[in-house]
Amino acid sequence: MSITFKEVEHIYAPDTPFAYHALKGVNLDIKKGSMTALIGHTGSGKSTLIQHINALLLPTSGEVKIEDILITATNKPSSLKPLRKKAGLVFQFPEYQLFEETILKDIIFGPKNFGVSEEEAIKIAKDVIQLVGLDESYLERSPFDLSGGQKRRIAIAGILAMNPEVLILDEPTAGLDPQGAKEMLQLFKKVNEEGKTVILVSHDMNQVLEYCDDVVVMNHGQVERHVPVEELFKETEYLTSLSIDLPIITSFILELNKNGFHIDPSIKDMDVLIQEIGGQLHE
Amino acid sequence: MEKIIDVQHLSFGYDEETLTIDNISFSIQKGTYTTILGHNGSGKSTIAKLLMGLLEKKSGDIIIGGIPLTEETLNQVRSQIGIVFQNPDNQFIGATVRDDIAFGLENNCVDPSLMDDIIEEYAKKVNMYEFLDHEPTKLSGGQKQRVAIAGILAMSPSIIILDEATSMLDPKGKKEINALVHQLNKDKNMTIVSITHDIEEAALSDYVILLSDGHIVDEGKPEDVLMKKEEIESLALDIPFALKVTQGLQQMGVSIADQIDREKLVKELCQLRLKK
Repeated sequence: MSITFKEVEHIYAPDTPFAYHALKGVNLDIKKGSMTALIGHTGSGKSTLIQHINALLLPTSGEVKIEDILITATNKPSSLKPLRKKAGLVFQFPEYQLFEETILKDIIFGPKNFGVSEEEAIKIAKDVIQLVGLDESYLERSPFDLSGGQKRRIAIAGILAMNPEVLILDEPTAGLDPQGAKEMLQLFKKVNEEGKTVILVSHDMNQVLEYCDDVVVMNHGQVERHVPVEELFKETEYLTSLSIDLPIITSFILELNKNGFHIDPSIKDMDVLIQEIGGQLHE
Repeated sequence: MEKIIDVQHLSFGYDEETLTIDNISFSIQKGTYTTILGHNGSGKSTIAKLLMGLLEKKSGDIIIGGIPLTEETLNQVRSQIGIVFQNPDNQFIGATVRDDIAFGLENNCVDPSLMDDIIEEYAKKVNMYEFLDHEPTKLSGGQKQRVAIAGILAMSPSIIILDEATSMLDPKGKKEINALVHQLNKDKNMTIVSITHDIEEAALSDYVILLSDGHIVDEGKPEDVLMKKEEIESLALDIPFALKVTQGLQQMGVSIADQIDREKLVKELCQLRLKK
């Protein structure tokens, strides 16, 4: 499912002292089935951009097209259901969206709203709870008795239960421990490999390098780059100008190369790097 | 050295049956930078809330700056500690960033004629000066965290507890805030307790307390605690990047000592290369 932005502008609270021009002339075409990272520093417009994808925000001008659904300033689709079913948006701290008495009820809320029978929805809930790394015994528990990381998984399970074609995640691993973050990213990768488009907003360049195909760079409300991940990390000067850190592995290689080593900076894998350093020490 | 936080045999449970914090004891020296490291659900945030008296302990003692924490001393204890929570939405009060930072100062009875200068000083330190008249709730996650941090720093408490306080900042923002906190730690001798699972941040602190399932698994200097690969990995944490490299190289027969500091590792590798 294709996602296209054409000359999209977004101004918050226009004609007030708080007016804020968050998106400026955004043109973007996100490939179907890709795992695309959306990066840029705080306040660059990333969250504003993704909220256009399921019409939580309407463009002030320009147009957003999600497959055959057109969204413009005046053209809010008559029913948002088909769009919201296609594009599942997971906000920062999605655990604050949990509201039901039991985890089961929370997960089936979405599918039932989209007309899935209760029986079918329960079946789906049993599947997705395992997908997010918890077992069925959790379904009867209250979501509020869980730890922050577990609540996050439940909230994501609720979105996966709606089987969206595009999964948009805003900083999904913020606050998770490294093991939890890794499991979460592997889950998104799996969802992506099953054919869904995944858009990942992240500040962690290590994640971007390891898991994503393409990367979109936002700066001051504009899209400045939309390239394969490896391409972006070659542009060290550009990234420095945006105060975006290189992935640890890349910056480590560049430091070594400054001091006489000759290692390919596009290496992503720790084991390959160690072999390479070891090799150059043994030579 | 003076113990500023002293915790003895502390236990706590959210319900009758389970203990989230199970008989733990530790102390933190004045003016140090301590990280409490542990996976989600290990009890890290619960400890922070217990230290502030936001949760009522089941048993044990908490002594802050020489004062035992009881119902009567609650205000005395709290006046020494500033806490920044992971989700800043939980701690905004003011209608503008300026009001929000002022709130804490007003509560501490700071002379109103000095307040503006203090607010502006700390807003500048966290790079939120241009946003002083904005509404906190309309800022981005990372900007909110900066405001929450400024509000606490402005009160100059003797102890600052950061509970995953930079989790929503981009790496540069995180570095800036960490540098600011380190600077306050040195210049003003503030005691910092940082709750995190960022092992690279823990590597830069004075003391590390490793927590799992409500127990202290290990504590000590980072160069001792963080070197223990199996222990760290068994706690769902990631071992430091530098240590992954040195241990991988050791397996290839390179003679290199374990290292948790990346900069030092680069130097060592370059020396090894020249010596070969």
